[in-house]
Amino acid sequence: MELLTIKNIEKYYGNRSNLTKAIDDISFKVSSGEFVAIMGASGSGKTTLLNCISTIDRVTAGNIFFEGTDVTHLKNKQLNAFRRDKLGFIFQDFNLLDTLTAYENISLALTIQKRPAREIDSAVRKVAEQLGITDVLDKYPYQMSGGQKQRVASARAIVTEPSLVLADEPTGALDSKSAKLLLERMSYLNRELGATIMMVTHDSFTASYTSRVIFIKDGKIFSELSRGDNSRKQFFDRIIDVVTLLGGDVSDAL
Amino acid sequence: MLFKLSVRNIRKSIKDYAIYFFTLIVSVAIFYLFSSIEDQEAFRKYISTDPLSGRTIKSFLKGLSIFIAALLGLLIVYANRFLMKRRHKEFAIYLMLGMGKRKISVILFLETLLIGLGSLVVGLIVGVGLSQFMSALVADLFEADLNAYKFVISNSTIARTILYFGVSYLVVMLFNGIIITKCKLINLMQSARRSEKISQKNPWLCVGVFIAAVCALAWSYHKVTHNTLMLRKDELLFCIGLGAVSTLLLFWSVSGLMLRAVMSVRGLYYKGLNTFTFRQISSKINTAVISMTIICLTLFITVCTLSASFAYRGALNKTLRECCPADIEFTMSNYERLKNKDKLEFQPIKEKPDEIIRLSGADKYLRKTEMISVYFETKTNDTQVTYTDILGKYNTEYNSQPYERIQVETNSSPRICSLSDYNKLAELFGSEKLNMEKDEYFIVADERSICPFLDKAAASGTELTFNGRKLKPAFDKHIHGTMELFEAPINCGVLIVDDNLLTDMMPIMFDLFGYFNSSSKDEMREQNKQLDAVVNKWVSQNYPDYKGEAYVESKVKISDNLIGESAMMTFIGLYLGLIFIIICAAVIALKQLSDCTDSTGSYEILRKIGAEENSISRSLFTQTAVFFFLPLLIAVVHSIFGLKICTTIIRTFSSYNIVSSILLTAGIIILIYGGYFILTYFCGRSIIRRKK
Repeated sequence: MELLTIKNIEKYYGNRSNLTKAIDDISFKVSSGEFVAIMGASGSGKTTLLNCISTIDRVTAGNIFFEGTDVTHLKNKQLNAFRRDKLGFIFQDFNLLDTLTAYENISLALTIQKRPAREIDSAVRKVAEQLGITDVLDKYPYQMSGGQKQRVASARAIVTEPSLVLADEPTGALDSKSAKLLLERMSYLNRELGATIMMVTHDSFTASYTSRVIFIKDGKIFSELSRGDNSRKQFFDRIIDVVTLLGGDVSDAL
Repeated sequence: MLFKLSVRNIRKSIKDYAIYFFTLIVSVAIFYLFSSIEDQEAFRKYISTDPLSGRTIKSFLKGLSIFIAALLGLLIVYANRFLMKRRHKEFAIYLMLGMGKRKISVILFLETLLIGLGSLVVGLIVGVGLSQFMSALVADLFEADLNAYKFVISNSTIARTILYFGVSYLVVMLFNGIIITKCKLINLMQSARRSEKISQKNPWLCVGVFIAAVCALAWSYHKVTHNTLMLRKDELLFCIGLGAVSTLLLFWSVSGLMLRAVMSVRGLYYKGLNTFTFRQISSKINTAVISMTIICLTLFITVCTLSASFAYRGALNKTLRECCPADIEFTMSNYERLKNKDKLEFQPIKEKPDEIIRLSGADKYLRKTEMISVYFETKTNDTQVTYTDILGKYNTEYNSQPYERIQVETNSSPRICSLSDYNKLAELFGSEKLNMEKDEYFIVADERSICPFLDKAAASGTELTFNGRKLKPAFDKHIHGTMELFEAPINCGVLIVDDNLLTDMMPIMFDLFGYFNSSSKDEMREQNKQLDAVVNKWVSQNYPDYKGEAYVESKVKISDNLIGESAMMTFIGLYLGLIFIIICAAVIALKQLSDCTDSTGSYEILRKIGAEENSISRSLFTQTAVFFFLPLLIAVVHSIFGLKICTTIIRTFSSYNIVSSILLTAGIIILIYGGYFILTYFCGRSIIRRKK
């Protein structure tokens, strides 16, 4: 089932004399239950794309259909509700609230949705178990490691059972061990719980955990890879090949 | 280049740092406003009536204004710290670009200079403008003629304002220089994202401390209100000290306890942004226990000072009405006090006051007069009635009152007047005429500590022996009033007996009471002066050797004295009160705003995870409200009891009702404090809404 359809979107910055096309006619689809990575170098437009999908930013042209609704035409109030109810966010720098414990940070996502207090405890504990953070629930962010923080942030993103989880460089601030642990958890969420995840990254290793990788260069789709039956290692090699191509000059590649 | 940068920075910051500028301008304006009182017409007039105390007051005011300037200076330094904190990132950029710390100091120096000059100019303009309203207030306080109103610009005050604030700004500059030279680049760069450590308190300890603090407070409240007048000074001070410490402990424990309490109500805690709001409040109170205590206590002092000074003012008019029932009292005693105070020497004088008034020609100033004779226990009379006799069996109880106040020596004798003289005065003063049997007596008094005992004594039928005759009380209570002009109710009792009992006694004093022809205050003042002169001249011409007392007391003179005194009290109370509120409010506002700046990130996170703008604003509103009104709430609770003491003390010299003063105080506090609260909320909201 198609969850997200992106149709010829464009995003321009600047004015007439100095126009930057951050996104230049991109179209693709994401089905429910997919784990998609968007890869590209810095400045390729991948974060802008994520911002447009999450409706934090508005597109200049084109449409984004989410579960059949065109979110580019939503009004402010509806936008808030859309973000709150349909999307979950994971950020590079965790974005946990310092003054709250892990438990409270996770529960906040639910209370913002105005869920009744009695549902909260079971929901938080369930998601904490899935992400292996039950023992840090009563700790404050400053008492946790980076990996724990990011898993708490992930828990906060999925506790509301959103239709789509958007992750912006989730492993960017983690050491390799924590990154691996997080990615395993994320693919577990995707595989076992059917969470649809869309992740922006520039790291091939991170991308190799997904089922599909979309490469972006200068605001355009450069290439797309599907994992198919490949093992993670094989998929990683294929990604590396594309990245080499992506990084080099076109003339170098030819 | 540096100058250009400074100007740009300021222009950019004008909106950002609204509260800083506001505080500076208000400080300068308030300082000018109150310091310029010396040049107000009404105040000058008051000072000129009494040059000696005028000088004391002037130097006292000078000292006070230096104290206030120091307080405002501290406020400015504090406000500046907030300003600096917000600019850490900017400094980091300068340093990374290779600008030396000295150059940054120069930029800051120029900025402070410009801001200082700007705020001084604006503040002085505002101050001069407001001082015109102030002059109306001062005129009203000192009951001066408003026609003498003039537009006054006090140059000396302007100079003083510039001097004091110049010094404050210099301190700020020094302070900034020190901060800049001491700071480390890495800290400046990371200042935005250093995760906060949350210190947790043992909940049981919190509960224990909370209960202890509440008990201590309750005990001192009980102690000070239960029997205020029996309280010794050191006991009162102990209670105040205990109250202050308990307040500190209360704030310390409340930060932990409130959170626990809310957390235990899951439905409330896990609702919307409440989790965040309460955590935020608790952690902020945690770091501000001492400053909140100081603010709370200052507010408490302010409420009491303001209410008491208004009440004192209000009590005055009532006191004057009650204690000065006539315009003048001309007292002529035919004894003179010799070196030995207790020995009275009889010295008859031919003319009585009414004749003197007539002979000297002073009667043209007066419209209605009445004269009474006053008798007194002397060596020549064998009457030995003393207060001990009048109080009867309640004498011991009266004497056992420990607190320091006007108290009559109970083995001394009261003045004695005849019933017909009392009734003459009653008619003159417009009070009720009284009748009694020949063997009865009553006491006229208005001193508040003795009155209840006089009532008890009269009710229990205490008998007196006067001139060998037994007298019974005519009524079961004392008669409230005075038979002299006083500035406060201090008449401890005049004994009124039947006329026949006094026929064989020699009056030792004559008292003439009268009213002036005129009713305007200025004319009365003038008539009083002339009457005084005429009478004195007559006495010294006819009795050059007379050493006794011939003294004219007048309501005008008493009221001038009292009004001057009360106006000063009210003025100083108002001044300190306003300054204290403004400082408290400004400190809270600055703290709150700097917290807002620090937690912009948190609000950004909330927005990202889908919290609506409305609920974020509501959360901020709750936080700001708690910060502003928690200290105020506790201060108000303190004040309820504090004012009870004030009321009790004020009651001893007047029956004035303090409620209207409290309402006025509440109005002023709500206006200033509430204004700061709203301003802070809106500034804070614009800080957290700003896009990165």
